[in-house]
Amino acid sequence: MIKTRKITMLAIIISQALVLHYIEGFIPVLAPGAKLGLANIMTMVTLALFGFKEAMIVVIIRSVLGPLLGGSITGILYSLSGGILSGLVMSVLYLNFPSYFSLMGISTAGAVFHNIGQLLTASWIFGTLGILYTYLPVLMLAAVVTGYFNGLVTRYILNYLGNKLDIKV
Amino acid sequence: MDTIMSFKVFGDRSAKKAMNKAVDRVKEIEEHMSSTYKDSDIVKINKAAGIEPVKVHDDTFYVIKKALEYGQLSDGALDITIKPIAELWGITSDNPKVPTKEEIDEKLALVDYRKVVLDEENKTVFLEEKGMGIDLGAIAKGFAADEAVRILREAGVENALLNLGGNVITIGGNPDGRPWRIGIQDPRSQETGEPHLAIIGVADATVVSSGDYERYIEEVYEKTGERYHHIFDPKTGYPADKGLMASTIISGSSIDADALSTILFVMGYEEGFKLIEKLDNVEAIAVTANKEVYITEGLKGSLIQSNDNYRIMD
Amino acid sequence: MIMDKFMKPKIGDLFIYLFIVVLIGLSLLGLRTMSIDRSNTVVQIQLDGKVIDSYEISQEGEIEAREIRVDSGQGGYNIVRISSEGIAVIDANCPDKLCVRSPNIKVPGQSIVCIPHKFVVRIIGESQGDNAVDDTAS
Repeated sequence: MIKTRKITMLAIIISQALVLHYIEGFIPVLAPGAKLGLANIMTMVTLALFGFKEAMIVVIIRSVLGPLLGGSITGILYSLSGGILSGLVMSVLYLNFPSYFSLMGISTAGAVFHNIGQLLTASWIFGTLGILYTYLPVLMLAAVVTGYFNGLVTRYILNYLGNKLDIKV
Repeated sequence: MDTIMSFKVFGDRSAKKAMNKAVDRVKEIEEHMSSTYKDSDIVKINKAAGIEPVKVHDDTFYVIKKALEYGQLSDGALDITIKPIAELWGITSDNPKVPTKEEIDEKLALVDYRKVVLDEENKTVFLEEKGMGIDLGAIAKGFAADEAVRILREAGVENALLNLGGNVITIGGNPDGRPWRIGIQDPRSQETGEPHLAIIGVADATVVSSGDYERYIEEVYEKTGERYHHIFDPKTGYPADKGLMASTIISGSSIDADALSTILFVMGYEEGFKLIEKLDNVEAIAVTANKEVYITEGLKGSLIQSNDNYRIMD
Repeated sequence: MIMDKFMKPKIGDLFIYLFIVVLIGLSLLGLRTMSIDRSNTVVQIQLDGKVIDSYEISQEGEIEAREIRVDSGQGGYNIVRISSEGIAVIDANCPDKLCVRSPNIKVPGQSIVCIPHKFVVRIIGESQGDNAVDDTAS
């Protein structure tokens, strides 16, 4: 893919991730700092289209700009920790063991570690692991649902891109 | 009188029993001395004003007697027969108003603690004139608190922190060895945003505050800035205006603290402190409208200032 | 397309779900064995949305067991017990007594609610430092 096209696509992907991040903000929060992780859809898409490096760039830019635009500095901490951890996990699974996992499974793993990352940050901020123990169970259940949903959406996006925009997936 | 209260009692499971017993006793006292509860002694006395004496519970008799003693001690600054004036203004009701001087003078004639007749033997109370009424609001909580403390101490409780409708009562100090840290409310906390103006360490003492910030006619305040609050001067029929925004009493006896905080507010700093310095086991704090804070000798050095808007005068 | 192959559930997915179950189990275990958290812990009691009581859990030494009774007006009451095992509502006269049956709370963010009495006791994670008071005379 030529460079300009790639940069344009990445820019669009990042903006989509920011929109998802913004919309997520309206969903009531289950635990301190915890977001559902819908923006990880874009992480997965980037991973499938481009690879590890690009996916991590999307994650980091989205995690910094998103909360900043929303007016929250601690939000950056939460998003970065959740996003990076889930990005790493999804990359490892997708790139190294693709035959063992379905898209839904990888997205779920991403959502799970996204929440773990956020809870670890919250625990650190509050100074107690109790936050982790208390909120992990309920966030895990949310992660299963979110992960499945994310997987579906990722599939649709990639199908669309493959058909309409003639991109090899 | 449905006082909001919180009891913090330290000890093992037997403390819970004592705590419940103390709360029951407080509620019983509230019932006897309520101005609204229809079977209360006070309501019966007021209904029979000018007609006949009414027999009352021993508690009620004791509290009225104490209140009259305070009336005498303060030369009328505390007067439980203030009810006709309080009702006229209606500050705590849904329709408060500023009455005319004529209306006030008319009701003022009915305010005189000396016209309350007590019969010690039969435990009866009689209000001499029709239209008179008594209200124990300024003193009943103090009595209830002393009773609660008595019950808790009898059960062996050594550390407790009680809050009865804003009055703070302590038994012992904080179990960690320090005294209880009690904040003195900032009378203008709505403007300054600070909850308290000073912190004081207490053990085995009661802290009671009165002020012009608790209840006042809001519409008038918002329009003119004038505060018509609920602590009346029994001599004028108007809210007391001897220059104080708030008064606080610290004493080993809750009933004393309750009565004296009203007395200090009505008398003002100079006259009030003259009276209080003569009493044992009582310390006081007076906050003037100029944001100056005067304290009695025994408190010098014990107040930790927590709020820069006020000046503690030494 | 390759994507369609990706849609079928695979063996690795099972591992992920098992992993989640294990994590949940560990968390519940961790919570049970934890004693009350005392770093920067402030306990707050609210009635009808207004904070009426708030104080710190001491940082060192033994936490003395204490019981607090709060009367919310109109005859309702809740009794809270604070000890090293956490904070619990041990008695109340509300019709459902859900508050009494709630498990102990130990961690900032947790709370026990009594809806009929509009009563909430919760742990918040900030201490106030030197200006902390045990109560305010108002």
